[in-house]
Amino acid sequence: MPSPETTRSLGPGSDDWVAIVDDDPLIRRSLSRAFGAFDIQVESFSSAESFLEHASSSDPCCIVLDIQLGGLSGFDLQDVLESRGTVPPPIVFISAHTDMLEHGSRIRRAHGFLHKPFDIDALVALVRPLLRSVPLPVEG
Amino acid sequence: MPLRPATVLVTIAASWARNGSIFLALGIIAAQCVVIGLLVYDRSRGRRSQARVVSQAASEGAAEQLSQAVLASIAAQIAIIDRNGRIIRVNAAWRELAEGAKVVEEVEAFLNWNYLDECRRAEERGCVEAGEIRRGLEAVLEERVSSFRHEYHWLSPDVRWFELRVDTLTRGDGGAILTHLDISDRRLAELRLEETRSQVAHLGRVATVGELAAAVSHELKQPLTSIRANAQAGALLLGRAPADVEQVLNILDDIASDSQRAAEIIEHMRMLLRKAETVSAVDLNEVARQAIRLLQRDATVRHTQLELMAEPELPKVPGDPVQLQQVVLNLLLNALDAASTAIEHRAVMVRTTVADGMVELTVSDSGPGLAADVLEHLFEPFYSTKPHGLGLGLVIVRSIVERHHGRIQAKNRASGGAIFRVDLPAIGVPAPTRLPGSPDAMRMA
Repeated sequence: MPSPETTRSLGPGSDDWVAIVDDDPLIRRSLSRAFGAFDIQVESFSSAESFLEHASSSDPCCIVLDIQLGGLSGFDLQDVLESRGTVPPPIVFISAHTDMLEHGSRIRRAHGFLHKPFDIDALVALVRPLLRSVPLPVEG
Repeated sequence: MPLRPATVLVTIAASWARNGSIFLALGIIAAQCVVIGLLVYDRSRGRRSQARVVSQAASEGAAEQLSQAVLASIAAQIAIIDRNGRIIRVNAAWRELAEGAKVVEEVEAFLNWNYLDECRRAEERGCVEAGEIRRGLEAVLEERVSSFRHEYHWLSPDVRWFELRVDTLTRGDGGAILTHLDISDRRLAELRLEETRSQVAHLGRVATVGELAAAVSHELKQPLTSIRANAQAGALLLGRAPADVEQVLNILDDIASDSQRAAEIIEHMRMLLRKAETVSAVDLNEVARQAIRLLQRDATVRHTQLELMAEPELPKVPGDPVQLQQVVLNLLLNALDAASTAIEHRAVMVRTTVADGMVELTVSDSGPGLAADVLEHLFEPFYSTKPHGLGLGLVIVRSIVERHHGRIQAKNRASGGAIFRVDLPAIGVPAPTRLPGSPDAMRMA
């Protein structure tokens, strides 16, 4: 089981962070960098299992979640989080698959859905309002 | 059907005339006319003898009537030839033809003409077909063979096919029975089937290409996503003061390698779509690795393990890498479909080995295996067990394998699931048991 990749050290007890769950290492790295450039703290995971194992102590304020993953899928993780009895963290699904019609209800339950390749501004626009302490937008 | 035999005779005449043997054609028509005469003569003689010897005639007449009736009832044009090649009797269809053709009215249905002599004359004028027919007829008359078949076609005004059959006449005096048969309906049906088969092959290719295109475009979105995220992150980092140059350099490195990754995917796609067949030394291990890479995500989504056990010392096989890729992809897609129906252990295993000068590639799955009736029809077009399957994948797979002088087999494993095995001749490996009937395989090795 790969360990989580932390791009920014988290303060103790901090829950002001975004989780990235994607099995593609290049996607994890580029998204982490992009969030970093917006001063948003991220932690990335290569699988749903790894997320559940390492992120149990504190929920992120948002999960950027790939649908197709090795092991549990993004939808499976959504089910697990929704069945915990507590308010599940908002999910932004990301997928390279175009046909999501049959998953309409799942997508509607999520905070957002982005089709790969997406614009990073669109992702940040979805995520930023969920952060508890909204960082100032980075100006040129 | 009075028209058809007439057409046939005209056709025989015309097709041979086309080959420069108009005399043979005329001769045949004339001979056919002669046969009628003999037939009429035979009948009247039969009647005369009937008058003279009543008791004998009663039985002879009945037998004669029967044979006449039988001959007359046959739609094909029939001529009976004695052991020297002389036409001694024709049937009604032959006569009708001769009459309908009206080429040589004065000669009665070619009766008493010597068919062999006519063939020889045509040969002398350079008609190859007449020579073939003569040799066939001689072989039958000399009882070296019991029958001879010759098929020919005539393209105008419409496409017609005919078969000339020569069969031994089983009687004391020897001879042969010559039958002209219009086999156009059968041949047309065969041609249509052939046409359908090639359409099927094309459809199958398009279907496979469609699936590949979907898989490849999906793959392409991964590097595109990270290129975009990296570029945007880089722009932001450069805008900062001080700019994190080191981080931006890392980003640029990643962008370069991602674009390389995208280019490889496209190149691979281009290779798969390329039409021309190329023959090169193909490493089946590499083919299997590429196929697995392409379908890895599919397998992951279906929670299916996709494994390769590659023989490290695998000899290469002569062939078209793109087509062989298609073979492995098709087998893998089928295996994934089968394995994903399993509840517990979902696995697909690709294995390469070498045995007896053949490279062997097997694809096995942990699915439910193949039912007996499925096994029977597995490689037939339009046979599919999938709800939306076209039933073409394995047809194409087999045709590719056979074009590569290999063979494909499918069976159930003792431990459950199905296994498909492809054997292809290897390059540079001594072959004690080469596939029968494939001299090309020897040459290629």
